[in-house]
Amino acid sequence: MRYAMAIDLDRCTGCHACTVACKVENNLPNLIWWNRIITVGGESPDTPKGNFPDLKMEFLPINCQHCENPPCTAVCPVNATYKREDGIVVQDYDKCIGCRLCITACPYSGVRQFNAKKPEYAIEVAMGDDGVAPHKEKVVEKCTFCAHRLAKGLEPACIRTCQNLARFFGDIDDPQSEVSKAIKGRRYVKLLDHKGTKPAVFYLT
Amino acid sequence: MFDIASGDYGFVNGCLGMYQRFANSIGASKLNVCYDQATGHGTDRVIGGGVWLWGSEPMTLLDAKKIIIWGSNPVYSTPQNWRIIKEAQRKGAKVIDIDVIYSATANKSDEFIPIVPGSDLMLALAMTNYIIGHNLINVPFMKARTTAPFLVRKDNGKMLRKSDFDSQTDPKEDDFYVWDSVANQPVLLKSGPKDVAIEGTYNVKGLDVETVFTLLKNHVKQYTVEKASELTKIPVEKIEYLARTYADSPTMVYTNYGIDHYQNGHLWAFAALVMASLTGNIGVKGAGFVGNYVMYMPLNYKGAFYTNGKAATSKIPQTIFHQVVKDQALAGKPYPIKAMLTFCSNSMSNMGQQNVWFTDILPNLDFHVVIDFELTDTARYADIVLPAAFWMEVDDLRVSYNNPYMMMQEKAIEPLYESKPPVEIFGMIARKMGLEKFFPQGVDDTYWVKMMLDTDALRKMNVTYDRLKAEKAVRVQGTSEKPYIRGEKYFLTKSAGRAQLYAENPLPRVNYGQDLSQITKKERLPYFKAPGEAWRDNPLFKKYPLVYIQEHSRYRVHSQWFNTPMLRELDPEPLAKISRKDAESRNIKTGDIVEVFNDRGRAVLKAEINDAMSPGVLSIPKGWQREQFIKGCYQELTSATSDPMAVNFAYFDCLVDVRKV
Amino acid sequence: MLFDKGYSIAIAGHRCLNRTYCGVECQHCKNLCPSDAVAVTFHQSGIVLDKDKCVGCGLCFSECPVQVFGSSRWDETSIVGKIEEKGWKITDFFCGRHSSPYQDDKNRDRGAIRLPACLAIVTRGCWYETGMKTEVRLRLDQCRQCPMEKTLPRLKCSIETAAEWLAASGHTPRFNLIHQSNRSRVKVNLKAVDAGLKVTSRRDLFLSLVKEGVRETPDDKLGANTSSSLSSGEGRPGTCLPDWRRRLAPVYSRNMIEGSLPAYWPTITLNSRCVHCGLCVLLCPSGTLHRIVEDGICTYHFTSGFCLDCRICQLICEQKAIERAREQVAKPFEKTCIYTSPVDECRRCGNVTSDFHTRLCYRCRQEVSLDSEFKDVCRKLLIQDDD
Repeated sequence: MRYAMAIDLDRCTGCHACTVACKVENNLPNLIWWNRIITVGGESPDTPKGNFPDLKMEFLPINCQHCENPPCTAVCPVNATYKREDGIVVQDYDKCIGCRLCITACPYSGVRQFNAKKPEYAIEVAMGDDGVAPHKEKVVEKCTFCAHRLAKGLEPACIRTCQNLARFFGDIDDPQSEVSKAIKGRRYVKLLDHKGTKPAVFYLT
Repeated sequence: MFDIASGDYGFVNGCLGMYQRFANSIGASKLNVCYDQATGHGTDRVIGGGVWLWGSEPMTLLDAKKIIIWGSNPVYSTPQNWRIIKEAQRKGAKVIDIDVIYSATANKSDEFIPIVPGSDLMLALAMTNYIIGHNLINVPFMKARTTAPFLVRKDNGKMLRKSDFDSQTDPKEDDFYVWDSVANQPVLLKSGPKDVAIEGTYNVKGLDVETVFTLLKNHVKQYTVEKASELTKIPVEKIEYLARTYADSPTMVYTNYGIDHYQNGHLWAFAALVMASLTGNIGVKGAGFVGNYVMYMPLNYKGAFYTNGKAATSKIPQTIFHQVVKDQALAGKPYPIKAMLTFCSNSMSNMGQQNVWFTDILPNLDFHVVIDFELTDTARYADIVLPAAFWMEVDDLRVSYNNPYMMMQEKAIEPLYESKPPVEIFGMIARKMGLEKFFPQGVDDTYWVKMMLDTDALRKMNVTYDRLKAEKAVRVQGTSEKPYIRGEKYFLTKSAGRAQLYAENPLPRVNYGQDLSQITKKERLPYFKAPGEAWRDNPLFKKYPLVYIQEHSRYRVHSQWFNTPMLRELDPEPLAKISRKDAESRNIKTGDIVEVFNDRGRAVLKAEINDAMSPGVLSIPKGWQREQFIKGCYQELTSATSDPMAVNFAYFDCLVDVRKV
Repeated sequence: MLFDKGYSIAIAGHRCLNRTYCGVECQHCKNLCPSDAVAVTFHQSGIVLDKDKCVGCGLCFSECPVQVFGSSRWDETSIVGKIEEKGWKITDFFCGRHSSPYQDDKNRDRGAIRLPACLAIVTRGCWYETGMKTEVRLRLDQCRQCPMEKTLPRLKCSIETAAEWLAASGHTPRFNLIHQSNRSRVKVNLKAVDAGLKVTSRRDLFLSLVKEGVRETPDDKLGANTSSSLSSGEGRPGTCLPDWRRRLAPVYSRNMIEGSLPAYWPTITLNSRCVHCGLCVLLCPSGTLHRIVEDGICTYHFTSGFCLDCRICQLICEQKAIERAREQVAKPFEKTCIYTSPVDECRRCGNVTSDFHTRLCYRCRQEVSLDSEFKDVCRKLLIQDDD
């Protein structure tokens, strides 16, 4: 049993539905995004690369890769982050002391986010699921593969919301799972696989 | 004056809803909306259906062999359709994108063809010419489903009809003449000739006539591929390739309102539909036009809205509204407008040439009320703002663009704070005005929903309140196996349900007394008309060399969500997107504060060098409000000048320049 | 014996350094246990006590640097209380297994105390306090046959430390280890007084007695908080100071007589390689190493008496900016400044930084550069991919 995600880059249009769904589902504080989209052209969203009209405008959604061999858990001095039996790398806010060693150890920069200040929210009522752990000041947080939804037999919020049907999720060990079926016969890359992290997110190309 | 646009398509609480009951009860007049009307005005000339009923259901894209995305960026503007295009592409359809700027759509398409802004019409005409010239036309289709074989009188340009020889003809029974090529004589269409001629000049009982197709063929000969190449900057071979590709049906055109935003927009739609009719790319499986699929629903409009028996007048288009308010007169006759109610609309932000609000409209209105749930520019400048409940706080009934479902909208929470459902706001005002009989006290949204659904036509379709309540969404057109194809059986035209290649009597979309004498005859066939302002031959082009477009951003729907904090984290501020070449020649770097300006106004904001922009094009994604700019607003720059036929804001038909400040 | 077998020993596993700090590998309890009853597993699970194997000496109570082991029935402060109450000048200490816990002769100034466990249960701090009040005679004459004999070196070490502190604070340490003794005459009026038990209500006592026979699994969360000072949120860095050190601080300072030869205490120094990442401060289990930022100056403070000698600060420092030592410290419970540096506030996260140019803290600087590096990799991937 190991949860994994597949993202079809051919279908992904960088629409941000996944990032926003994630933000809502997990009631993320202002400026915290567990799911982000990288554009080829630079920091500004939706910018292409090249010379007009020979351009490329691709998008890469990045969330925690839930590595089989996670560098973050190894460096955590207080055991606040660890891998579950089902492959999900979780973060325990109660233990986390906010040292951010995990952020610098993680090669997928940006998937771990640090709440430097007391979490602030755009609206006064909490959004999303009440099974999500409350956010805390000075701790690191990240994608949980929506573990609270998985516990209820639901798929992660980003999977459910993807309007381009570009995201797949399931147990990679089960050949009948959505993710296994999506990967079958497709060419895919795993980000920075050469670093030996063995990420659980497959990017179909 | 009621100023209503498309902020919410609810049949109770939205722009299709009970405000009409209120407006009609008090005898108000209504502004004629001039957004996104040109495409439909052009298609209406060919396939009828008014300005809205031209698109097929998006699922029909799956049957297309080729999809030409023309002047649209569905990845941003209609993402719900993009996944269907993508699926079609996976199944083998070739996707070609014709656009002024490079977009995410262009990236995902098989081919991207950049084009000079406003020259799409020329491309369509040249393609039509090439298709006719190279005999790529679909003759059986033309004979069966278009007016190509109809005969046109050379003396007055009218179609040859039964009534031309028999004055006793009942207008409802009037029939068209065609030339029976077997019998070699003119016959009435209904007589069922074995074969008809689509080409030729004939003399029928002393009248010189020629077929519609001959007329068209000779007319488009002037639009050579070479000439088009010069104007569009698309290589000749590419245009020829496009024409051949298009003619090899079934080919789908995906379009929306990009080309619509030039003063020649309706002519492009006219030309494109004519081209589709010549090649059999309309009304058949896998071909047609997709982009804005709208359904007409036979709801109880009459019972619910026409409290005094008729609809509120809406003969003042938004494009001239400022002039009418300023003069308090329309076409020389007094037309006093003193109070205005704006609902479902952020007119100040969305109507072109924003500064007329400050010079003409607001100073001459005594009272302006805005009902909205966002504090838009329009609301900020209003005398009174009434907070409307949000969509999730009201019950409603709706159909929406691009899907074939009628939906029951159920509220998730009660309205927050002081906000109220719009129907309740109208009801409260109406009751104070003594109109309790139309807006009884103590009824809820459901009362109005049931009222709207109370028609025999809906009951026949098995669309009832109980079914909607149970299923939430009910498919009312087509089936999932056989999605709805516009005009599959017949077109909504007065030419025996055929696609019209010739508009015998072109009428303006809205008649407010404009001078049409110079163009009526011209408009019978698609012809090349340069954009009104954004064209290189315009003397203004030397002063303002950049064509200014306001592309659709995916972080807003027009101006809706302009202040949604989560979206502002993704897209924090307005940006003037400039091509690298234009930026370098003006010494502008990304992050510089620049002023985009022309004679009408200005916008001061941050610049971004964006390689998606073709040189000569500047874009400020639309929807930002005045307070979000350092100075001015993106809409100050656009023009209220419109084509007299389409009467539509030509937002992109606009020239500007930019400088560092 | 109170702690005969381990059933009344509660383990506050969440305080264990091994559980909280990866790689610290503290094994005091395991290595010192005379009965091999303690197992330490790193990461998560922490301490496991084999309660049947446990002989109940209580050495782990005094040796654990963060007070993981405790009991709802043990309270060493009652020892000093008892001596004060009686006004003894000389006190004999007997363990709970001693066969004849009686004092040798009758003297008003002399008393005897029997603890419910091995004498090794008493912490250095408590010996210091006791030594301040009375001459201490530790009755070790029956240790040789005892299964807890192995605790003796540690007991001696504790006594020596306490003696060193007493000397350093200007007092004469009077600890006598009695290894051989004549068989004590059994005289009822010379019987040792029980001490070290928690003063509890009858109800609590009854409940604790009833529970003693029940073999229950240790529950870290319940029953672990033997001391009132252990509040919720315990186990996080900065909260793991053992009670005896907390108690020792005012006692040591109050009884300090200037001019004596200072005792040796742990010290640390910070050098200019420090980048103010703050990791040492964040991780210090007792919170003794901390920093204060005021008027653009960052000051690092340290109190030797509260240092657990865990060496975490030194282990974690990426810059090798921390040196640990054992030095003579005259006022071990006085906060000392060990390093100051002008700093700025990180514009990204608000942390301390000495980089006035970028105004980014050490971590943020790393994060920003890693971020752009990673994005470049992604962008390359995206562009290649399509070709």
